[in-house]
Amino acid sequence: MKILIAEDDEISRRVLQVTLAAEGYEVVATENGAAAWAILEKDDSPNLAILDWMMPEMDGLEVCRRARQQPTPTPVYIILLTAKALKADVVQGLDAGANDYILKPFNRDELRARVRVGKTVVNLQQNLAAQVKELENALIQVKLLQGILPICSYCKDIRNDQNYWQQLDHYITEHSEAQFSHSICPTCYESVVKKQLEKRAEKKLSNDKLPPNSNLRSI
Amino acid sequence: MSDFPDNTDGKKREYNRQSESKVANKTSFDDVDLAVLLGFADMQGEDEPDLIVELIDLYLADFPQQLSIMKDSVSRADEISLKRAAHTLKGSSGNLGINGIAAICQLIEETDSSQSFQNSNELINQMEEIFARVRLIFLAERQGRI
Repeated sequence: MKILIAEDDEISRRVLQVTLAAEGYEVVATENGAAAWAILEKDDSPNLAILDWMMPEMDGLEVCRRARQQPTPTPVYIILLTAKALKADVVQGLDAGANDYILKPFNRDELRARVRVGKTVVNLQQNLAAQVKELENALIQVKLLQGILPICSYCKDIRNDQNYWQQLDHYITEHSEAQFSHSICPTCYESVVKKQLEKRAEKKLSNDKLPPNSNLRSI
Repeated sequence: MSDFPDNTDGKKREYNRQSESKVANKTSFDDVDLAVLLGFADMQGEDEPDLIVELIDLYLADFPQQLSIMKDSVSRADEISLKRAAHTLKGSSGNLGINGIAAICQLIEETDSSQSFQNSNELINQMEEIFARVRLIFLAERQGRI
């Protein structure tokens, strides 16, 4: 998982970086809020961000607010790094859109634990988003089978969206999860198949009456 | 009835007493908890420069810069700049286990504006003294690692 760090102090930034890299995370480090926001704005941005509250150019709180204004099915999980231990400050940070906060100077075990919680939430969000997408796709397929379908009165072919005539079974297979196993119903057996079989049997019988080398056998 | 003849002076004395007491308590322990710094050895990447040496170098370069900003801020009576530098130095010092300096930075950060500059000079001097000792410890550790 990719994690974004925004911390203006070089030592704290390096400590965050090595601590998270040692846990196997891919770390992207920035020095201020503006640079962090430039990364979070992009597609395929990190799923988890650790933002220092006090930073030059743009503080962590403002980055939180902007991130929360972005419509996305998988919002970034934000941990705010803050030396502000007052309850009112914590509330302000969470109200701005942070999911969690860590007091500075941070304890590395606490950091690892809180990032693990964040990772769990990110994974849940991603699974949920994937399931929603799957349901949306299924709904699209269901909708395609609704409404008026042009069908040939004789051969029962369907005119598809590209204006081509397509066999009914092929059309349904393409637009749904249904699959066909072909067989013959009793009515068709009686009216079509049985007659064909009888015709074939008659032909065989007349062939048998001909001499073996007769050319009429092949007709 | 107040114990102090003048309320303002009384508050100042009380503040000074508390500040000194806090600093004395914090700095009565070792200046640096080396276990914190050496704990980074677990995170040393293969084929990468020694991480502990890197962190020592960063701190030894960063402290004088932050200190200079703080002194300059006091001389200009710029409280915001002073507290910002103290905030930064508190974070980096705390992360490397330099608890004495982190505690003093916290005091500077927490000092209310009316008291700020009267005490900051003294606190900055104390920090410099601690840094001088920490620097020797760090240089010795660094020497042993290269």
